[in-house]
Amino acid sequence: MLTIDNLQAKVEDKQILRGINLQINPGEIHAIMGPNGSGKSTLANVLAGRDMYEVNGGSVEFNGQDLLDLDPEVRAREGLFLAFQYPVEIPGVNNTYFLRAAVNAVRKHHGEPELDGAQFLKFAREKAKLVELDPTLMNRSVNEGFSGGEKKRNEIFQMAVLNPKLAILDETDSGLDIDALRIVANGVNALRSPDRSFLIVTHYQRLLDYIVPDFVHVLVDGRIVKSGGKELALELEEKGYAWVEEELLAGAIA
Amino acid sequence: MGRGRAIGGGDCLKMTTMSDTNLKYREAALAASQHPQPDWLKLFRSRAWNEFEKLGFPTTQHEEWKYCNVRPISEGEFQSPLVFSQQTNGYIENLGDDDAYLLAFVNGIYDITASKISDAPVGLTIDSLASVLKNIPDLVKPHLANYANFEGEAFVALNTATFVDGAVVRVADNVVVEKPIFLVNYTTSGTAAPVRNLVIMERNSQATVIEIFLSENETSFSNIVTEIVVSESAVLNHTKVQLEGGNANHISTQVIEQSKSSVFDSQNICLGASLARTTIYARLGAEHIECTIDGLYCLNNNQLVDNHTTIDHAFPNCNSFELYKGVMDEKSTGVFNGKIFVRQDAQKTDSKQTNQNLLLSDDATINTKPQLEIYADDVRCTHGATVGRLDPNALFYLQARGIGAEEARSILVHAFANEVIQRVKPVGLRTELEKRLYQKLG
Repeated sequence: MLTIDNLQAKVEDKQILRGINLQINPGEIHAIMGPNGSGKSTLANVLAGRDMYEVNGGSVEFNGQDLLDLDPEVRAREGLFLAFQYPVEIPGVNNTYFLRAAVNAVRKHHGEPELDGAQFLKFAREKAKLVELDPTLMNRSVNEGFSGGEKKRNEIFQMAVLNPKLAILDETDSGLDIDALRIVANGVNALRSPDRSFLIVTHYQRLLDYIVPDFVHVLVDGRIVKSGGKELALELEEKGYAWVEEELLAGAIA
Repeated sequence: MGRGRAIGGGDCLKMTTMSDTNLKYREAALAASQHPQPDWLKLFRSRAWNEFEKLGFPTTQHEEWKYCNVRPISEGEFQSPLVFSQQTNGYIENLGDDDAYLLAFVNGIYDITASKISDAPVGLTIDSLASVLKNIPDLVKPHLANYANFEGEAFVALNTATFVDGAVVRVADNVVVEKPIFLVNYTTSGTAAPVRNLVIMERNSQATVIEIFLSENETSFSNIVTEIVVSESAVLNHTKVQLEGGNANHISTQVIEQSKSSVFDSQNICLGASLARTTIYARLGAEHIECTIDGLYCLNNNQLVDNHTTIDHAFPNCNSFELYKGVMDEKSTGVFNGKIFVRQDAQKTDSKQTNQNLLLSDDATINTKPQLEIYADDVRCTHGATVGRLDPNALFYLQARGIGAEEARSILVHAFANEVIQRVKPVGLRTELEKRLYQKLG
């Protein structure tokens, strides 16, 4: 599905990713954890194609294609989805109109017929139920005036509608109360399937109580320094990131 | 008007010789004065002509015309529209809602065949101004040329001296007109067309009036003056739509006189012409008035569009709202100058003015100048002007969902512009404007 090989990226003159290696197979859920400023969100955004980051080393292969060579919209059409940490408010753009344009761009890319308004609405309403999204939000401007929880639910709703192969969740748990967290997690779990993979970027372990990962990776200073199973998340929660950093330091001295 | 005059500026106002262009306007003024009309109007006209002669066309030396070079008009060769050609039938296109009253004009002269006014209800007068001046001049006597002051205003003076025709809309006391009233003017190539419109909303009446301006693609000069009276407790929805051809020159002056508890709700949509200047002056002449003046200008190529608005709060307890949005692409230039006067007696004024601009190219320009002059102390007045580019975060968000860069850009520009278009009342017109916006902005 996704193979990241020695990926390096910087923003302006600041090197952030210093050689990321990661292999995600179909159906797997990977969690990336790490302290603030370790490069978690940068990794998510670089994969989605945000142009404020400059990739200055390494490669990323996505379903046999050179991901870094594709425009952001082509990555999306090929099945990569980023749930934003800070979903953007877009006044004047109707949520339903926007999402239909997105779905039809994807369908067109795959040579499928576009959905008309009625077909799309029926389809979208079903998906809205999945994340318990208030249907009136679909008629509002994209994210405008949405609460923090509604914005995150809207991201998962979009994910459900766009049906991606690889979903990257960038700190989707931040700013959510426990009920919203459960709803978001239920939405994600409902979309788990043997041919869909997830990359969950999070600072805290609590989301992983609800979305149980297959692998947990710890990102420190632009590198994955430790990988393990789901129990690694619990260990991190207990001992804190300092533990990994100390362990690293000890390893370096030894 | 000679070139030397344009360079000379505002101080050398006496002309010793008259250029060919000016002679043509003098002939037009003479011809206009020979149409059937009451003496009081003839007197206005001769004073207006003298004023125009004294002023000449404004130059960029004039503060109010600083960014609006009218040389394409002052040096242009235009014919007077004294001969009306029927060959322009079909120009109206499907702009209006089908279920509407329609007064059609070609070069400012009434086109009865294209108009639809036969089923006007009792209490609604919609007629050609020429006909009213001939048959029932007393209907317009208290209003015509009473609000649009031509002193110091060259284009108003020229219009007053030379207009032949235009529209009269009068809604009598307590009459509510359900169907929108469309006033459509079409200017043909090479023509200088004065248009004079008068809208009289009597006490407690309601109506929706749409002024549409179209032209052929080659150069032309339409010079419009619209006077609007909104009497006590009357409500007028007003939309001006300027869709003239790519080489047209369009000068328009709109003067609104509002009485107690009246509502004036308007949009000024400007998509066409090469040079377009709209001057709007709203006088809030009593208490409890509500005045909304919204506008949208979407420009490309070398278009120059200048909107000057003034809202004059003379009495207490009035509200005014103004939202002007501009999209400038390619080498176009937008100008926004919005004055709000709050005079000493106008306590408890609530006034909000916003001008938002989107620059889509490095060569596009906007000159924006909000001006608040407040002489009362218990008021709430806010104003703000922004100039920006498309939000890169919003663009990326759309792209990250699979929407191509071009389409994403287009979606965002339309979302920006649509806010004003959505305020247009007649549904058919609104849909048509959305379509035109797409055609223009791609």
